[in-house]
Amino acid sequence: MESTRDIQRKIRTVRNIQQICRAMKTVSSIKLRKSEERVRATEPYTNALRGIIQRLSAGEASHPYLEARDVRHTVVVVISGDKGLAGSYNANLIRQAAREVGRLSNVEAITIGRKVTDAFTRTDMAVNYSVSPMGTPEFRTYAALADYIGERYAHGVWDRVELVYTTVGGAVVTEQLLPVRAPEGVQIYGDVIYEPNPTAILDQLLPRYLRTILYTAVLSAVAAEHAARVAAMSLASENAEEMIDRLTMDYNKSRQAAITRELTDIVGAASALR
Amino acid sequence: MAFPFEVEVVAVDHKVFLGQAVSLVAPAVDGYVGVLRGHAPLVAALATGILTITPAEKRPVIEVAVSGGFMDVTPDRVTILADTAELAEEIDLERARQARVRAEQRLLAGASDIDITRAQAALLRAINRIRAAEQPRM
Repeated sequence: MESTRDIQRKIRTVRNIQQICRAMKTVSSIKLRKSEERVRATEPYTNALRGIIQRLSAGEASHPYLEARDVRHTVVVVISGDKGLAGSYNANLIRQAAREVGRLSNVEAITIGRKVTDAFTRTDMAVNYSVSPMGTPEFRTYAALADYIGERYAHGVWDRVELVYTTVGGAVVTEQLLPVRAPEGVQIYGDVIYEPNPTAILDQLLPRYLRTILYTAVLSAVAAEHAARVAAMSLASENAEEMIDRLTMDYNKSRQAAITRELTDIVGAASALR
Repeated sequence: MAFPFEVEVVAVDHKVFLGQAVSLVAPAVDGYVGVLRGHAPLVAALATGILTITPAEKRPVIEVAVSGGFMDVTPDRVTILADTAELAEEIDLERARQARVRAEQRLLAGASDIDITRAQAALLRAINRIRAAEQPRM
């Protein structure tokens, strides 16, 4: 059996770890709240944009982003986190992304976040572009990335663009980014005037739509990462609590055993002297 | 007698304005467009300019420096999706002036085509913000 002092040392270590976990949980909950707010802040814009696209694509206006082609080259955009200690957040995402990539031929990846970038680089995936580390997402970064993707799609370098990320709810999803699928549920107000004309509007609209979709996906992924970390850290501190209870029990037992041992010694010695 | 309609101004990551208005004037690419309640459905691309909203309540007009984006008009509602949108009263004049100087310098230095286009756009935005901020309120 371990000595009393060893057990005491162990208890102290576990308690320290528990404190770190608690601190990380607190920090992550604050970050979670902030990142959820950022996701919500983009909603009015995205919804309004979607509304216009619905009406426009119901008409005859066309744009390269809306045209589906025979798929020869695909690119998969994967969004992970920069850091670990978030439970299965990164592992789940990388597993699903690898599966998506695995069932396609002629495929490249664009990786956002350090975890997936490292994982894909290690496995010799064809990584076309990466944002790593991603840090705090800036609209400008992802607007530029969306423009880059859109341009390559329009020039026929890629025939299909997929997006793999985690939603705020925590589910890993695969979405088609390009060609843009017109949202359902069209609401038409008779004849709409387009100033200057439908094609010019689409030309301006679709790149912006792409930018916001990519940016919102990144923001959702960040919020999901914080949520996953909050859950992981609260589980970890619960486990630490359990471990402390168990160790305290062991400690008390071993202390009692030591006392009993000493008492028997004393009693034994006393009766020997008599 | 003026009839109010709902106006919402949103930028990519925040809501700039939401309220009732009796009229608004927006900088479309082909020139300023005025909107009243009951306007025919219209989708217009926006240029860099000043958006003026006359609110329904007796309050001073609201001016917003916008650049790029869209205006979606339905008979009882106008949604403006701007690439950037700043209320005139919130513009930091000093920063806008600095931005103008920077853009001018970049134009004078003369670089590649892309840089020139970008600097021109930046200059236009800076001038627009300064104009919005300096305009006297009615």
